[in-house]
Amino acid sequence: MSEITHTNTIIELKDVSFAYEKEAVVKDVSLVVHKGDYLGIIGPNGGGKSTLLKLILGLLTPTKGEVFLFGEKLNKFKDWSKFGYISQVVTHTDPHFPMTVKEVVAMGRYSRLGMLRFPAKKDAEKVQKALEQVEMWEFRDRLIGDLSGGQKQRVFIARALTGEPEIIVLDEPTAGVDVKTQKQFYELLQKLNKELSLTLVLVSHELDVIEKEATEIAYINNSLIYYGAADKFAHSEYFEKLTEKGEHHV
Amino acid sequence: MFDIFSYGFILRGIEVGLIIGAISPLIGIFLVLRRYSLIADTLSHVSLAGVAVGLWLNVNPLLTAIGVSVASSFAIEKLRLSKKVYGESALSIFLSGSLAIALIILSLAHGFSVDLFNYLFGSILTVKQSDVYIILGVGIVVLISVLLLYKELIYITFDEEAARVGGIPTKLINNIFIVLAALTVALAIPIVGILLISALIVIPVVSALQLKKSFWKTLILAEVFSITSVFVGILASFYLNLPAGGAIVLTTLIIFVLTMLYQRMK
Repeated sequence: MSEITHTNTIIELKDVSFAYEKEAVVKDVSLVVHKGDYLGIIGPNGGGKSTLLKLILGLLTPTKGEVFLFGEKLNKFKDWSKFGYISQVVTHTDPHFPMTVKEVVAMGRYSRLGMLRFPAKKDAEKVQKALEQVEMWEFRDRLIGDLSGGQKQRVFIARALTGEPEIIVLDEPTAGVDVKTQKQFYELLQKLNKELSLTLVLVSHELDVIEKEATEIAYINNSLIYYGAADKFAHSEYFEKLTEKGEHHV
Repeated sequence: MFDIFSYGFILRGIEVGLIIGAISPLIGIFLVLRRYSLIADTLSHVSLAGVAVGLWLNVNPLLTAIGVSVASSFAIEKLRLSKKVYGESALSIFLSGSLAIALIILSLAHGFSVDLFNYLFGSILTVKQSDVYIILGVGIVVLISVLLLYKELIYITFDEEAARVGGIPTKLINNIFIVLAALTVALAIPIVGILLISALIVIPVVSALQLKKSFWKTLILAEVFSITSVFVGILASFYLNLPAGGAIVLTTLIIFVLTMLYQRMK
């Protein structure tokens, strides 16, 4: 059935381009994410990294090229419960939204449940388990707006985990949190990647952190400038060049 | 004390009022949290154009108001999403445009009459038995639809992008929702009138939000505030000889002030 032979391919981009109006933001990007990968997408602001993420998630349609998810063409792909998605949680969450931690995490079950079906006891158990995994169960009845940035991040990770995804996609998840919280957050991501063998795709502008955390790196500045193992990236001449030009943002 | 219930028109008013009081917060909570409060106002003015068409053609104005507001709700959503104009500009185009159309149609029909005043400010005295059936029927449709789509609506309201990635058909749900909002607004015309509808949809929700509870509890509180306001407002209108729409909205405002004070004292 699948058009791709190796079954552990989760995301595949073939010569994908995208342009807003006439300006190309993403040019001829090809990359493959396998099960268990931890891919960091990095690059300068306006370099197209968030656009690339939106293309992967089907929030935007490529002007050229093709996206395959779990071996299926993106427009045929239906099983979105395999994806967990975390956007810029700290800066994007309305601090006055009347919703408890438990209610936020329960949303992670919704896409698995499908329309016109209501959460049952089993779903409540999954919510508890996910909150325990991120050590936030004791905060379950607190309002999401009353939590610190780092606590919110953990809750959103729990929301993604309740959907029992195979991959979690994160868009600048550490925007707006302090360095210490950031460190704890990356430790949690490592745990998810190694212990639960969850595939991670993370967009960030924090080049120096990502090259240490991720296993693969895609450096995009409209087109793909570097794509490969993270440990090689550190020594590559690309890094030197880009740093000299001051094109990366820390 | 209970002689009030021996009057048929008051009973009809209370029946209809309680239905409207029950469905308003269901729509209101999503409108308020999505910063779409102004949509209620826009839809109510669009409904006036519908009422004008009804008065002109001599059809039950409640039915034409429902038809026109539902039809326009699609157009409003489309214009808003097209991003050719700013969201709130799209709303003001519809708001003032439909008011202009209503004025022209009304003057073509039979000029300004008492009827118009009733639609602008509500009048439970003129609620007919047929209106009760229409409001009950459509009200139940709104109620069941919101309950069935409850979890999708919450997800979209809280985090629309994540809902889309999660495979929730956000476009479809948004379209259904705006139709439900249009229906609610049109149904509320006989009770609070076109000019006060958005108050009934928005204020009980904003009051409940002051108390900083979970989503579920906020919705229940908004329901309690809304239904209480309608009931107290109608009683006040009967005993104190006040216009019901005004009395209802004033009651919502009193509750709002009380919740603010309570929150401050805590």
